[in-house]
Amino acid sequence: MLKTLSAMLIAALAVFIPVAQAEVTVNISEGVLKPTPIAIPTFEVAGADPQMAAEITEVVRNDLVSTGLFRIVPEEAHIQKDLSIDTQPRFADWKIIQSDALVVGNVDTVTVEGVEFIRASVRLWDVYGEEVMRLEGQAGRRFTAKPEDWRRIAHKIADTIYSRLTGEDPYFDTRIVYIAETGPKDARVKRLAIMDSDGANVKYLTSGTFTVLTPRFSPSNQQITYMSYENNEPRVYLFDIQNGRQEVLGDFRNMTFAPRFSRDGGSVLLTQAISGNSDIYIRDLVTQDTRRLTDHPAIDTSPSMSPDGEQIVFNSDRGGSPQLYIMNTDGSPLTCPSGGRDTACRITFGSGRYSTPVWSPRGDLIAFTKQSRGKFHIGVIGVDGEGERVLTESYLDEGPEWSPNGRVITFFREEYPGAGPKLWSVDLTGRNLRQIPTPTDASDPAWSPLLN
Amino acid sequence: MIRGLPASLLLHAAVIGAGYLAWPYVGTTATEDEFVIVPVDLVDVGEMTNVAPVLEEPEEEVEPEEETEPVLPEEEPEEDVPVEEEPDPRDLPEDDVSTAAPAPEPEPQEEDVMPDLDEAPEEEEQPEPEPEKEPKPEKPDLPEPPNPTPEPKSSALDSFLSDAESTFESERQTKKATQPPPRQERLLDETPPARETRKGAGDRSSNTVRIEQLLYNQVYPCWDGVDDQPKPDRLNVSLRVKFDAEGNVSDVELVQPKRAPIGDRSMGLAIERALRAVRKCGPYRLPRDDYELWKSATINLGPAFKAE
Repeated sequence: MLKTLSAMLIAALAVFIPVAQAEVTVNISEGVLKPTPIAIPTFEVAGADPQMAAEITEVVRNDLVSTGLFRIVPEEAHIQKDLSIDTQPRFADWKIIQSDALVVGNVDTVTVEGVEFIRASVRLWDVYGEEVMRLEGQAGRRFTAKPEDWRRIAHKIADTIYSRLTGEDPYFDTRIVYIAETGPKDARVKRLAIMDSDGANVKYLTSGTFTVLTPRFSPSNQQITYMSYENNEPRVYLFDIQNGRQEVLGDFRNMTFAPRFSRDGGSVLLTQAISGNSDIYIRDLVTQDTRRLTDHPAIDTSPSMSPDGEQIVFNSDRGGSPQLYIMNTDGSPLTCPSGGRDTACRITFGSGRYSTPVWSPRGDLIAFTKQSRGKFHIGVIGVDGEGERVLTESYLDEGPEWSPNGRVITFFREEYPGAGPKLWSVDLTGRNLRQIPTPTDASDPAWSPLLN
Repeated sequence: MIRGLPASLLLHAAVIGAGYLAWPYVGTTATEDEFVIVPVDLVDVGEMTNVAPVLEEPEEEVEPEEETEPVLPEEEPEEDVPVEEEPDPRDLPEDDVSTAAPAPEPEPQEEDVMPDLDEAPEEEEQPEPEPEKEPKPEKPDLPEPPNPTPEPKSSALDSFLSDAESTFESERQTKKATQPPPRQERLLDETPPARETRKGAGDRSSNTVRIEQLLYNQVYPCWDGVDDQPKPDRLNVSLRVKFDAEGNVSDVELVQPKRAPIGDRSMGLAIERALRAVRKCGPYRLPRDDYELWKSATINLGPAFKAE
């Protein structure tokens, strides 16, 4: 009986074993992050200037390449030459040259009430998926602008593609305000300047008669706040880009500096030094009310607000050396990472001096400048003080500022003593370190929000 | 006596000479057959038997194109593909194009009036894309598992591909006519059961593991991962992939999640990347004698799927 049962069991196993083996399952938990190959043939032209179409295409390519996340498939390698925005491409031709995505664009002109506009249309194709990739829910996008704004059209197109392929919010159609520096060290002229995110269209907003420092963009409109030594009195100013109007912020009797807008743009955080003691204040731009946020004999400065407006990170030497602290905006006590409760919690404990903290638009990280062992670094740290990551190292790296999507950090670097400061950017991950071209020495960059 | 002596000497000499010549061969069973030079063909053992080969040589040695030659009659369905019909509702890509088409045209122009940049919803004025939504006819082909058609899905509506395919076919025909097929192929042709693995004839588990490793090695480089996305730990995608005998992806089915969740941009991107990786890396080089094992595979991509 036992033998019969055993035989039956073995026979049953023999039947099932091959079935169980037939399932091939592959588990992959880590990918290989490398630049995505993308083909962007020069946009076709219908009634527009071919040169402009070529330039728009080139700006789109440059924008995407500048992220370090894309690799442009050279146009010479393209097989299909008869592309049209209205027809499906021959995917096989693009697979052969191993392009993951294909951008097909068209530039033409339209006249509205006697005014001529240029109009650019794009479609993004998934080569291997053999389908059009929807952009903002549409099968393609179309942008119209005055001819002189053709660069913005290009940035918008690049933003659309970037956002669709990376899942990140866009940031190309933005501006960077910075301090343009010229002249010798002992007679340095520092002017407020503004340019496109790729370094084009530089314009100077102040004459250079008075030194200006630390410009910061409003996250909600085209306003800039900065510190100026006008009349030899360091004060925080507001500057409206659209009408060029400038005004002193508040009626502070003492030196004010290190201004930064709140996340909603309705208030400005700043530092006021009274009798040598610096504390942080917040001024409501509508009600003109000013409220003191810190009251400590140590130097408290460089405030930056969290995206939800609930907390502020600032720099203080109350612990003996400059470190980063977090406090509630309303001044109430909070639970510190160490477990205790206090009105301000220290979040940096590494060796070195921490300064210029800036809260990421995403809310999860804080960028900072760190001085350690004779070098300067730009780094990021979690809001709970965990996961400190140094991204750069140089003779002088300072003044980090986030791109509006929280993916890129711009800062200024002086590579060696005597070399003028230049603007640089680095990816959140520490990759893709690159210089942003400026016609003069440049410092204190600040990113604008995405333009409308 | 005098006459007998020379005769005797000659006889002895003949015997001794014969013995001298024949001695080396005494005691052997040599036959003429063993001296015939036999041409040797190198064949993957796996193609001929149920014993698993050590390497997946057949992929390298046998050109996929040549393999498709015998499938000539199957080109007929492809030629039928050009029939321009309405897009298959199952085919998402086509839907995209078709739904895009009805978009209103005037809207953009109204927005164009704005001095600054305007973004107008794309209108599908072009009637042309519609004809290209032909993949529909091809879809029905996909479900057929044994269909060895090289590009079941990619040829969808793409007239170029049909043209290219016919061009390639004619080239293959010419090639075939002008030069003899490789020895191995001749041998393979004479061994019909080569691809038909006899199940149960021995333990195949090592083969399965090996195939999984081969697949892993080929998919891995094509996947960008999801580490750059917020909260990547939740971005896990599971795909069921069907292959034809040449290692081409014939169908991909989303297992987890079932579809891209609306509004979850990161998950949508993770799904796209997973699909792209699987499609991009094909055709896969896998041992054809084990086709039964890998004609369908589950490929999991995401931080949660730690490789074993």
